[in-house]
Amino acid sequence: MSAWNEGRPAVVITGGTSGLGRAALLRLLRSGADVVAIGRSEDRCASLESELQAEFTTQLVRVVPCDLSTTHRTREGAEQIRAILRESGHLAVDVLINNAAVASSWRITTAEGYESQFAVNHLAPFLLTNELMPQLQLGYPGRVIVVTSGSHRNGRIHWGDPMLTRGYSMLRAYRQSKLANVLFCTELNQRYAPTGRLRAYAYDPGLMRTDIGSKSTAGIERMIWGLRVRSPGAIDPDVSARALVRLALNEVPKPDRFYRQLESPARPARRSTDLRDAARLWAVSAKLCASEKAVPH
Amino acid sequence: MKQTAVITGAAGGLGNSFAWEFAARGWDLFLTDRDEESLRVLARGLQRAHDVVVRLHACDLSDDTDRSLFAGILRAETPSVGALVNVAGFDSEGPFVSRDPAVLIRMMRVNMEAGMVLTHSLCSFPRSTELLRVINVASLAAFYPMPFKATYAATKSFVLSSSLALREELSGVATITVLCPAGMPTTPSARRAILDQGALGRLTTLNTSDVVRETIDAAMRGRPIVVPGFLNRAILRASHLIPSRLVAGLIGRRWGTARSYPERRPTERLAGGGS
Ligand SMILES: NC(=O)c1ccc[n+]([C@@H]2O[C@H](COP(=O)([O-])OP(=O)(O)OC[C@H]3O[C@@H](n4cnc5c(N)ncnc54)[C@H](OP(=O)(O)O)[C@@H]3O)[C@@H](O)[C@H]2O)c1
Repeated sequence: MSAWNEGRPAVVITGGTSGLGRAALLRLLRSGADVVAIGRSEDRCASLESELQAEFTTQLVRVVPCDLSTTHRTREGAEQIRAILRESGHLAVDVLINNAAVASSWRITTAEGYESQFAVNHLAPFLLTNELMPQLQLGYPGRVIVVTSGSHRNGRIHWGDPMLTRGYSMLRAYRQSKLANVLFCTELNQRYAPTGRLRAYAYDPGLMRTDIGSKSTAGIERMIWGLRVRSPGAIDPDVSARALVRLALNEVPKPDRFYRQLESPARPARRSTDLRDAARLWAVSAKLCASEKAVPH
Repeated sequence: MKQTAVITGAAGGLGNSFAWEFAARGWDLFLTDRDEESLRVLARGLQRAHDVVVRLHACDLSDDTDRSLFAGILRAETPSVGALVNVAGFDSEGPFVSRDPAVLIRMMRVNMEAGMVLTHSLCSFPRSTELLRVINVASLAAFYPMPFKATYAATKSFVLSSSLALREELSGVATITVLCPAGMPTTPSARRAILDQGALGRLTTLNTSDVVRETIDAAMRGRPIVVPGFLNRAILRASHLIPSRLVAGLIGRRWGTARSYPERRPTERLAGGGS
């Protein structure tokens, strides 16, 4: 843990209650990090928190329920995270792992009227990162990881209708959101890497045996997910969590290799590093997340 | 002049899709629902995404006083109101005797009375030359007597029947379009119900935003009824060939097995009931 000046690194991870996030949370704790995790279900958060606090008694473990589907709850979540970390002596957020995501056969709208995959998979990482930006820039340098997916390669940003009110399909929405994840990292590095205070990484976890494709799906889509996760190509989420945690805690890799597939640097789709699109997506997202106290334009 | 769409039940899945689609078409909005905070959250999202004015007024449409107050506010706005979308409504599904009659009565008040009162208040004063576009959300249930949803289906029949009649009476002032959708995946429990119905449930389910777009288009053209989805229309047409008593029997059996409600037992007479 030589990369950290003093004591334990402070790590924030979203979607800590199942799949990759849960496996990574365990590994982060075993590596000695202080961790604040976010989940959506109060019950699952409470039981996981008490289970983990019993096992890891000498470090910070919190599992905070926060529905990341609306901007006001995400803002409140950021505030809670700051307060918890401050209380245990952390002024900085050393690592933020944006992992939570949803996939849905149905076009579901959030309380703000947004399409849920765009809101949870893209806007929540965008807003949470921006809300925690002052704390991240106190890191050495702060690290933002956004868990994306290889399927971003087939994605398009639907600029005229990002909420996909027309022609919604689960995959179209999912791929758009995962492409947005990589574009977001591109823009973060544009803005902050030159300052030396923050680095962003897009992480492709590979095909993992998790429930993401059966939580809000039906029919063919549900069936196909079942077949995919049982295929020999699918890995245990813990295998992917090992690479993710290494990316989070070990020596900082070069920023020009910001896209990683499991252990190794890889090449993302060309359109995910398009600087004009990256800037445009930032502007669109800032508008959709705006508050009286606006995020930087 | 910019027109305003009034939407009841705006905070729900269908209501918020109507709000979004009207805003995307450049309409200003006047939203109502029971919970003020949810309306605020939705309004914020709509205003960020679209360049429109959103106003809100929280009220309980099953409450007489609340409802009259809201109708009064609308009346004052009549000239700018170009559309009224009556989405507010709910269901209380399950065996009749285990329903709370108070809830059923509240349901009747929201599903039938609210839309009627608001339509009345917007049509009873002189309007500008523009026609008022009224959209009433009924259900596929409007067409059949439905065991386990008996009262609900009847409230929706009321909406369908009165809309078709008023449409003639108000021609020149307003157009009335009735939306009769099958289940839509707007809430977790609706999605569970769709899964419970198996393949048919999944096939007859449509994306809410498509339904909404189709309905607004139909309303602008003054069409009387919208039944979204090819399969739903086919089922509806087929069912017209069968006497409604038989349709009710079929539906009862399907829902009974899908939701595993207790078998219907022959009515047991309570003591003292006479004869
Ligand atoms: N599985 C794969 O093969 C695969 C492939 C490529 C990329 N990925 C990416 O890997 C990441 C993790 O996926 P996974 O497979 O581990 O999925 P998962 O098991 O479903 O985990 C998703 C996590 O996000 C949480 N979450 C969902 N919606 C939320 C909300 N509104 N607010 C707060 N938390 C919310 C979930 O909470 P609950 O526990 O309450 O559900 C859960 O903890 C995602 O970014 C996904 O896109 C996965």
